[in-house]
Amino acid sequence: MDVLKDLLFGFGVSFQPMNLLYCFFGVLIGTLVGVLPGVGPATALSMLLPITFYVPPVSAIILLAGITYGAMYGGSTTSILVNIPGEAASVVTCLDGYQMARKGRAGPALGISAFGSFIAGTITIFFLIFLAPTLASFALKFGPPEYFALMVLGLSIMVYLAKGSIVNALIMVCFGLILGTIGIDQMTGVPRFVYNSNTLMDGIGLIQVVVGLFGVSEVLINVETTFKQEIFETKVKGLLPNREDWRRSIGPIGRGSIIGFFLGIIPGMSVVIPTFVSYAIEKKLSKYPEKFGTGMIEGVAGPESANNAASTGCLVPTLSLGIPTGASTALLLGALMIHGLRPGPLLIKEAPEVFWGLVASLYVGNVMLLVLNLPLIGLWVKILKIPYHFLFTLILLLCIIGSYTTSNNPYDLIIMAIFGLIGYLMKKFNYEAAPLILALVLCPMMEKAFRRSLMISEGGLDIFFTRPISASFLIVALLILLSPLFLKKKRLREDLRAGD
Amino acid sequence: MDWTNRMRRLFLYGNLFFLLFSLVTCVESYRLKLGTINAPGPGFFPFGAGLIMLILSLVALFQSSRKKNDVEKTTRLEQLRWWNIVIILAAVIAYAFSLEKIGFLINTFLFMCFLLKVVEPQTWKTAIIGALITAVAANLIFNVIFQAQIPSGILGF
Repeated sequence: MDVLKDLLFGFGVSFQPMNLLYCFFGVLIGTLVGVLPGVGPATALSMLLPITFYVPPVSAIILLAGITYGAMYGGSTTSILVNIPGEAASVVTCLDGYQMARKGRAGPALGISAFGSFIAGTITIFFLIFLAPTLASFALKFGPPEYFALMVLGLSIMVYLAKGSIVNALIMVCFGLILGTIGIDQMTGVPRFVYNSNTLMDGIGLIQVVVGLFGVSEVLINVETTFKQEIFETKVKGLLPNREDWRRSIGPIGRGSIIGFFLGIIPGMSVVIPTFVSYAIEKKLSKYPEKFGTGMIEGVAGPESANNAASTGCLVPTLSLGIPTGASTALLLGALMIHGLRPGPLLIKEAPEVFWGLVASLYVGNVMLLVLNLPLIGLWVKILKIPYHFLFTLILLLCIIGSYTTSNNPYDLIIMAIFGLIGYLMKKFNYEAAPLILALVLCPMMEKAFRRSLMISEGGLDIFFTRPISASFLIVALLILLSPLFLKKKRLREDLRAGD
Repeated sequence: MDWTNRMRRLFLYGNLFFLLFSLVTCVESYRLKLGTINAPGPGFFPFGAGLIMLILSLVALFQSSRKKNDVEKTTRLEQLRWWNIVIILAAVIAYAFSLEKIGFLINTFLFMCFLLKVVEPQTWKTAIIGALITAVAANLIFNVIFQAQIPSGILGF
């Protein structure tokens, strides 16, 4: 079997000592940022991306992917033990996980979330193996109009799921698209919005924007209030869930894996929404829905499997189409491009060692996380006790180093600071950063696809609607954006957020 | 002026900013040459995005002048230590301008020391020791191990 051969080849790549080491560092750093509130995987990726310039592409991608799924494990630890979600994807875990901890069942809660994540990770890797190459060969039929329509669909989903009003989220998308056009126009070579600045000539860097909007702005929000941390001492004993726990969790884990993976594939969904969906479904299916929120293990097992599954699902469009689903996958693609690889349907064929090496490393990484994490829980809790005045200076310093080392240009730090302020104001005024980031990332691809489509059609916009695939993408996008006008206002979206 | 009015005015400014931004984008993209629909020029795409943004910010402006509920949810500005934000941003900008002159090690030390002393004041001992450890460790990790080539400045290592 071809797949088996490819997979074995992948394991060969990921078992090389250096790659094992990078995988280990990746999941370790991932867990750390998962534990720390205020530093998400996207910020960590952008801070560490420059480091990977100096290692081979496979190792770089293994390290960076390790951060994204390691963060899913780390986030749940703090949710359960101290009721602080280290990660947006672990917010739901607080609901029942922390209640379990208060009832003295912190061990099984941590255990089931680690095992659930592991099982979800393992199952979904197989989905990834079969789906990504199939999708890639299907996507070879895509022309510029289909790509453009698909990206419009991804942005629409992100807008629909964003906090606050749809109009504001759409404004953010336009803002991102405009920022994305700064620099030299790829097709004509004309500098745009550069105003004689050498720094702007290369465009506004994704890293500086992500670090500013997520890292710096979070620090700014935190230092303006007096930051008090309260850590409750919880004794963790008996990490292994008992037979009853397993019986109740196995269904949620299976459903969580499937929901997480398939929702994760959709650009714009990210890893957060699947956790809410999974929680809502488990509550609906349960015989005792009223007990949710009081420490039901199903409410931990489902969402925790879902977020891990989603972080694998995100890799499907990223690796097979070259279309990122959010900030983290965009940075992964950025890393591939820095190493001279071309993301898109040909990636799996052109750089099999990257795809199969990454797939195998996902599995290796999940094993490492399972083995390492449970014994290290005490350490993670200690890290939470580091006073914030040390933490924020360190976070700022890492933001600075990450921004500066991308091109050793001090003006990049000014751009980072500006986006830090913009991000701070956006948080205050209820604008969400995610649509802006996705738009900024997709902008060059979208513009190219759009202009090429118009050239193919020789001037008719009808090209987007006469080709069946692109037409259906655009119609779905339009329906999603207009749905709040017809349906009961914002219902579904708010429901998803509330997990109800 | 009472609180709600003040917040409403702030939201108005936010919307006006986006309105202005999109207007400027449209004008500047127009200057870049829009091209024709079958051969779109460099200004075509940003002009389109700017135009949509213009319409959206007009809608947002119209909406915000009508509804009031979103306003109360935001935190009160008075209680917040906004000066910390100014201090931190100023420190980052100062860091950017002095990095290539003074070098990574000393610059980082000064930066950390300043923030530890000013934002949430620590004793001199804590600030200096903390800053020293961070600066040396950061230099070791990024410049020595990862060879990131951050300028070493006047110290020369």
